[in-house]
Amino acid sequence: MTDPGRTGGDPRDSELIAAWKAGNQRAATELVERHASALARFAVSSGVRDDVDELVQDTFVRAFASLDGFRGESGFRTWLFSIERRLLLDRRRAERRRPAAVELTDDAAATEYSALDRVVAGETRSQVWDAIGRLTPTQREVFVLRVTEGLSYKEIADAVGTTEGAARVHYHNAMRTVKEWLDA
Amino acid sequence: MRDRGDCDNVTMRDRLPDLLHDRLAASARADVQAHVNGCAECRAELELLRSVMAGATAPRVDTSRISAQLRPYRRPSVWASAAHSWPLRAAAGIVLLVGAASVIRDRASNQPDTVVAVASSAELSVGGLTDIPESDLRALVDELGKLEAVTSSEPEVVVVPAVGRSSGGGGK
Repeated sequence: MTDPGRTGGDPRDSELIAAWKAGNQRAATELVERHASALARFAVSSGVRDDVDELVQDTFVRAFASLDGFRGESGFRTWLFSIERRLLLDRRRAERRRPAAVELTDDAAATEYSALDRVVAGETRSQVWDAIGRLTPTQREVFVLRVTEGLSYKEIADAVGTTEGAARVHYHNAMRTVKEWLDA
Repeated sequence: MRDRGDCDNVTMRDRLPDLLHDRLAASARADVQAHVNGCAECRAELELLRSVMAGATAPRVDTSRISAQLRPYRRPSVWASAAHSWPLRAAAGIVLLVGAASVIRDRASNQPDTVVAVASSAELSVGGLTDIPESDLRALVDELGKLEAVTSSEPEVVVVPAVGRSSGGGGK
């Protein structure tokens, strides 16, 4: 089985965290290199179109500043996803307060994704990702974490702040919506 | 993507992303793979999942810039650690309770009549009046009556009449 916190003979995330706490700053760099792409992918898949770099950076800065609070009950990457998601929600709330902001509600999910399509000029999006753009934010988060990151329902529940059962329901509803959209 | 119907075997469908990410134990992987081989719906769903994965884009992130923002680890202070330690919190709570109890007891010991009276009334309420014979009850009431007559432990202030001063003043 693939452990996202370990590749080949590389040290585990927990070992790198311990090394960083012992003063090895290189261990922090290795953790960033290991998880940054997944965080960026999750951000884009969740509809972030601006400052993905900044969001990923903020996630790591916040994570390392509160690493003593990480008890290892979930994987380090799952914990990072949960931090990134909270930052994402804060960002959406701030955007909502701005007069010209597009309100990101479940109903507005498709509109927001169409806006993304306009911004990313010339980029051809696959039918599948267009379909994913029709999902509600929660469905999309669950679906993306399950499919592109391979997280278990338990890990998704930890990251998204829901139950394992609810995550499963969201996933299957999302799958049904995607299939219906592709068949339409 | 052809047949996009749903396979009835939800357990197998649930495991398709795990198959894709190689997160299944060997035996489970063999089971799922065997099912997929014989199930057109699951093959189509697996193909759909693969296309989702292939289309997931991750913009390039400058990891060295992020790493440069991370400060070296600083061990939390002893007080900060103590504040988060449950055993220490519990110990502090016990010390606080014992301290509060001793203060209350000290104050109560300065008012012996009240304490005895309260204790007596507590005993009465616990035991119940119906359990006590009439003679004992009368004796108890008499005892309570005597308690009211007991003098306070603190000496009363004695006022001494200023007889001598008035007579002495008159002699001048």
